[in-house]
Amino acid sequence: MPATIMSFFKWIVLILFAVFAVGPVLWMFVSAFKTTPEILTTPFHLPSEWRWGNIGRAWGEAGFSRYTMNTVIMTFPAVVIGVALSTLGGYAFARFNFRGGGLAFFLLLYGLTVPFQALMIPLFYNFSRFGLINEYPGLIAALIAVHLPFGIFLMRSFFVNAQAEIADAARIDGCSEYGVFWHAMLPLARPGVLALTTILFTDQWKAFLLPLILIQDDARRPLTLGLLFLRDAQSQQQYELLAAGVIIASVPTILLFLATNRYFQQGLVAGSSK
Amino acid sequence: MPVRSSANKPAIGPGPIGLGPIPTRKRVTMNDQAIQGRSDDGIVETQAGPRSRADRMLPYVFAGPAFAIYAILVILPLGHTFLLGFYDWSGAGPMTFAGLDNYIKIFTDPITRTAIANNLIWAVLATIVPVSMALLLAVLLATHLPPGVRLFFSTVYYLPAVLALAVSAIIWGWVYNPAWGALNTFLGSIGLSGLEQPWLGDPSIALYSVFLVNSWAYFGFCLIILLAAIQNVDPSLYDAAKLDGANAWTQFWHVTIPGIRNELNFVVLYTAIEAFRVFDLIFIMTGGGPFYQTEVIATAVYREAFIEHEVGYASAIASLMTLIIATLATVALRWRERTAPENQ
Repeated sequence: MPATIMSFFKWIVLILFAVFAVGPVLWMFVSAFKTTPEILTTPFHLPSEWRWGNIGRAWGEAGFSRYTMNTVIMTFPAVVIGVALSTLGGYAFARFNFRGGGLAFFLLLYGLTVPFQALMIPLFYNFSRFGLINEYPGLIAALIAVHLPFGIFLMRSFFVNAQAEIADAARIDGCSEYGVFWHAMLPLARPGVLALTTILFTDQWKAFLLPLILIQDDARRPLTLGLLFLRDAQSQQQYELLAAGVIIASVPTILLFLATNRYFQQGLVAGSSK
Repeated sequence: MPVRSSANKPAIGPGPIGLGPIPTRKRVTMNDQAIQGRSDDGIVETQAGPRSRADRMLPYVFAGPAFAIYAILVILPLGHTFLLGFYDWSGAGPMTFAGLDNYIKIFTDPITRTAIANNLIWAVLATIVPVSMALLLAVLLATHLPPGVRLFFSTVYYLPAVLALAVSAIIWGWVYNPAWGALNTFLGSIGLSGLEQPWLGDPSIALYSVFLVNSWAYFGFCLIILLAAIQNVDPSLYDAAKLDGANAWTQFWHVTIPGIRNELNFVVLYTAIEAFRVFDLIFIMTGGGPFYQTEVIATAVYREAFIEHEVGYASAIASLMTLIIATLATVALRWRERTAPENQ
């Protein structure tokens, strides 16, 4: 009997937390298809009529097509270059004992603890001096740099666990060290590369503070800043457009997460235990 | 991710990194001991004979570009911030050396003191609460459940972590809206209208309202790590404990917790570091208000640097914050290393 009661409580707790996790998101998503008066007067009711066109209005008149494009322009290079640099760096630190490597690794390790806030002042003033404010290359380089410690550690943990015999076999076959990496080791680290790609994509898509400091021009704002701008600038209080903007900003990362759930979880777990 | 064994080892060599001169004797090794920097004895020249010069350059070619970008955009600005902390500067015009004035001001300025106090409260709560929530749910999910159900719940719990904090802040700004927000509407509909609050407008509860959003955003991440760790605990340990007559609580305390200590340690460290550098949620939801009552260190740095134009002072606050986090991380990593072998 106590086992049954325990089981009952277990389900109650699991379900309550599930409601807590998705309830607010679902509520906002549904609100996106209402009108502002409906949102204000009957917040918990389903829309009297589902206004699917609100997404299109946010995309068009509220400028979310531009914000989305800006986020894409910011995210893709940051992910591709970030994954490449992290993979190469992680490999070097995992398989080679080289002069300066220890110090470099130590400095990268502490990079995990550095708060962005401690970088933003010099970044802002130096970027201003070199005319890099509002320029994506500068922003992208900064986004890559602050995520390198995580990426290198994650990839290093995958390469540390790779079997040395395979590398030795490739060497005996006459591969150069570059060939060993490319033909023998990189294929082994494929799950790591996929995990890092999904994690970095999500993280860069979500970037807020660096764009806040480095992008001042509304036409170049990414989604995160665009949402904030819309919330604060609303003169006519079109709440449904803000909610629709939230959908536009979050659906890509939600879909990516659902599609790559397994890699995502593997990657997080691998990074934590090594 | 924190890597065992490397954190507090002395650097292997003081030479320049990546860009420096080519070392005369390059050691290429596939021996794990040497790889982890534990010993120089394990060095094995590979069977293929002496490596070519190009091969010996590989670690520099591979790690060099990453380290260069990191040095230019993280290490240099960090050093610059520490330097600026000793100057009086408005962001334009001349800089004057101010010695420790900025640091002294940190402890005499009541708004900054509030920010530091809030940040400490936040760091403690924002570590304990999400990790405890995740631990409870991980233990429940690790019990007999169909794998599909387990995956469903862990996916649902992780969902908030996929959203940008900027998005979460806007969603919860709605939930907390005093007039038509979900929380007050819900309380009103179940006859508890007496509990309705201006959740973000009341200085005494605003910080905790934002804090709830933080827990919401972070517990799923902790859960995934802890759940995987619990599932990796050797089941025979539980059987042995049961034979010894251990009840569920004793099993949890003496088998589960030691079995997941590495992951628990990581999750606590990660959450604590994230908590210390909290910015997005507070900046977007309350902007540090009302009356500076939800100001934390990062929002104070932003306000001083970009609104008040006290760049030197802002840099001093940021430097102090960096030192606190680095110290905490060092202590935690040392502790993790010192205690690690006991449970292996």
